[in-house]
Amino acid sequence: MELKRRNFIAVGLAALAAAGTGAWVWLRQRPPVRWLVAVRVGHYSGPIRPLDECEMKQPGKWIG
Amino acid sequence: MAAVVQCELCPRRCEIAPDGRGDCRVRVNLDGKLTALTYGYPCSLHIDPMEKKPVFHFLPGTPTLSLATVGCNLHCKNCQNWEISQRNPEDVEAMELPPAKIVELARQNGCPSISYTYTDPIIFYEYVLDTAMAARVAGLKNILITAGYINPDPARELFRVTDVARIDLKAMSEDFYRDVCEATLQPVLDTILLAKEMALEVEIVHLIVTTLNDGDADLKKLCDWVVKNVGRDVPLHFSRFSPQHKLAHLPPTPIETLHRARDIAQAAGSYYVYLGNILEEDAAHTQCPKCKKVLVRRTGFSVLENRVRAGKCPDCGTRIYGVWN
Repeated sequence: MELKRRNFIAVGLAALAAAGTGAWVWLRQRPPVRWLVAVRVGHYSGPIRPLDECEMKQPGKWIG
Repeated sequence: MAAVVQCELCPRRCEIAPDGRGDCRVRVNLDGKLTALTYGYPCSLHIDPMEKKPVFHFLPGTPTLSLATVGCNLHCKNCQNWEISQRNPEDVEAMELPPAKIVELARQNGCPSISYTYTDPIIFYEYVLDTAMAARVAGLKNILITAGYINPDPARELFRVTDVARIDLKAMSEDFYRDVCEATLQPVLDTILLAKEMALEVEIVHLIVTTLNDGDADLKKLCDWVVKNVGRDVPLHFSRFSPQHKLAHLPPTPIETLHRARDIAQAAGSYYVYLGNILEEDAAHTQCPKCKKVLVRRTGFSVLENRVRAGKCPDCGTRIYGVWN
């Protein structure tokens, strides 16, 4: 009788683990959420420098 | 668990995992939200002459406040602005300038227009949209300098607030777009057609790269497509390649190749053909397509003379494509 209960518990736990893994895999595979317009970031991730109006009044070195 | 997001801005349609970033480097997934890392943070801001864009048929001789943020959704091997286009925001200095400030700077400095340029305005889409709308309210014009690699829906939204689309048509070959730019051709053609359909002033730039897209057949295919689908009157700029970035081993485009391109374009029926990145007497003059008189004389980025009156040739009355004052 005890042996059967242990077996039952082991099978039950294995089934729960399998179901949990399956759910996790299914969630990971859900279609991505589509975005067109992005939200603004709160702060710039790089270094910030002040505007230099003298530099601004010169043509840029970049093409275009 | 934060969701994977899919950016719908350009044909890459990047699927971005949590904390990951798109191919352009500046659109990221933060807590399941697509986030624009460079909104309000331009890395470059300058007052340029309009002819530097190059835009020749829109308010010639006027200054245009030009800005860019870091990043790009193309990866052209010959990019001359790679130091800002192929970098991450965390590696490049930027200024904090919200849209209203950009408009204020343009007005204070006598710029009738704002140009979104240097990298590609597509990747700072939201920043361009908001700045362009504010510019319109202030009576300023908006100029997009772009490679045109954008999906139709966002392109349509952007073009609603754009006056000029100066689009790079890099080749008429999917192979070139794949091998040199890591992109595709058809979306660029669609963008050009959409800009024309929405009555923007369109100008096309084709950079001729030695050995890669300089054959007569390539040039003829491009010119024929432009004339047939966009019109004879759309200005076509052939630009000389100078060795850069990952194509530093190639020689610059011979001047003769540029001349040949101009001949092919004119034979195809194109009215306004210009040669860029060279200093040559008549490379950048505008001629009347009917009577052939020179209407606008340019040297470098300077306008020496502009004879266009009320949008027409003063000698024969032919309507000249563009916005002249």
